Amino acid sequence: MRIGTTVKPKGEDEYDVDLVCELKADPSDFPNPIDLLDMVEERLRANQTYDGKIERKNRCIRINYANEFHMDILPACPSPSNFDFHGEHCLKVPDCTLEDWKDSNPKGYAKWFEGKARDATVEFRKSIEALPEQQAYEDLATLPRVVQLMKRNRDVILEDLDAKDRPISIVLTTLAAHYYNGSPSVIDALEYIVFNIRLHTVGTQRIKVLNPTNKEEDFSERWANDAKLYDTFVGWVDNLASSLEALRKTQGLPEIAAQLKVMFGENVTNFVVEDHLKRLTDLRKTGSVATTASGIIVLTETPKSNPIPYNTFHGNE
Amino acid sequence: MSKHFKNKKLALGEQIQKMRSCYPHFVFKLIKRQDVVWIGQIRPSPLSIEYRVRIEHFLGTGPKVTILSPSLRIPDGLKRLPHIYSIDRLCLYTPGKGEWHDGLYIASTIVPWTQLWLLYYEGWLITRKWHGDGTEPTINNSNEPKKKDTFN
Repeated sequence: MRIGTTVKPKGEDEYDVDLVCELKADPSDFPNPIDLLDMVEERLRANQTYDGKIERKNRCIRINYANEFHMDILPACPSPSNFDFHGEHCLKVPDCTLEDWKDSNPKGYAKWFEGKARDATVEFRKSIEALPEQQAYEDLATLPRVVQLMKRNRDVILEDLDAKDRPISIVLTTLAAHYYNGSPSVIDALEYIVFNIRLHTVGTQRIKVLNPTNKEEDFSERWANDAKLYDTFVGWVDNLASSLEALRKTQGLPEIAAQLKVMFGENVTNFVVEDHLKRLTDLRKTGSVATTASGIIVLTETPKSNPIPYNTFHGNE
Repeated sequence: MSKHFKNKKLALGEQIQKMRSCYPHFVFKLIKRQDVVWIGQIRPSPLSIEYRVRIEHFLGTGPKVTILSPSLRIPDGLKRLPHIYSIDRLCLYTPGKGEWHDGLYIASTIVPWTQLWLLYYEGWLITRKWHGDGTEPTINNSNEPKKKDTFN
């Protein structure tokens, strides 16, 4: 959530909110890490609010708000000796399958991602113009948008698969940030990232997507156990690359929209077109729309533009 | 423009001159020294294709705009084009509202309005809804004279 890459779930999928519950406790106080999960679960079950909503998972307690969203609560302890290169405390989380602690570092990951989004963009822009070093993260939102588009395309294209069989978000997010070239253009950045992922997936050997803040952790570990999941990922990347190529070759607004509907869904494509045109209509009503010599519709404050007087389209709607 | 001159009728030569300076790629043809027809391309948005349009300005009537190519389409399940008179003639302004009069340049009104119409038309093809506002019809289609192409 912090890195701004959340996508609205499609169809029957639910929002998935992860909440890391960092406890001021020493992991060594819990010889059996599962005790920590038990304690949190017990405490939640004592509260009637969560009656019938609690579900035990491998590393978390899940609260199910039926048909809306579920929240995964991950109890975690700060690792007393382990700091990452950002100076963030690494965390230790109990893992039922391993029956042991597992390293985790959500804050460090967020910092790594934000750094990639910022540094690459600054470098890219410096190559074309002088740019102040300081820039708000929101102004550098290209990478989060690209990640959202990749996740959205995954959910649309692999709609018929269970959510758990699709490439997982942390893998897509990490790959996108890793290959991001800093382009401020969302479409250019998306093409560049997908092209590079594809370059590395053409071989027979599977790629490994490691946690950038903890190289011991393989985000893509499930590919090692299930080759089908990796095939799904490679097929999805190929498909996205082909779709982007087709999009580049497409001419005409309705034709481009048709391609976007295939890639990202009909409703969201229509929403964007509607939103744009409704805004244009509102601006026309306030006399804020003009045209340039080359025939592009702009705002009246654009130099050398000619205002367009308001007109009421007549006839049948 | 001051209010005093608001309704001062522009001469045909002034309209032609303004069109030539704003839209040099439009070609025109004078008919009987009182009427004029322009034909040229309009691209509603940078991502859009170009449409070939024909603008008629005949003595005593409002300018008429038709789309020559490509043919206007109607998506499956919809019956008719929005904001259009017969034979692909666009309804760009509402008569009686003073939006159009002979004191206005076609280049500053009719042409950008055509561009906006085409943009909303493309939006209509995509979303099946017209997002450009407008009024209900008051003109009976059958009263529209079917002008034959004098310049195409």
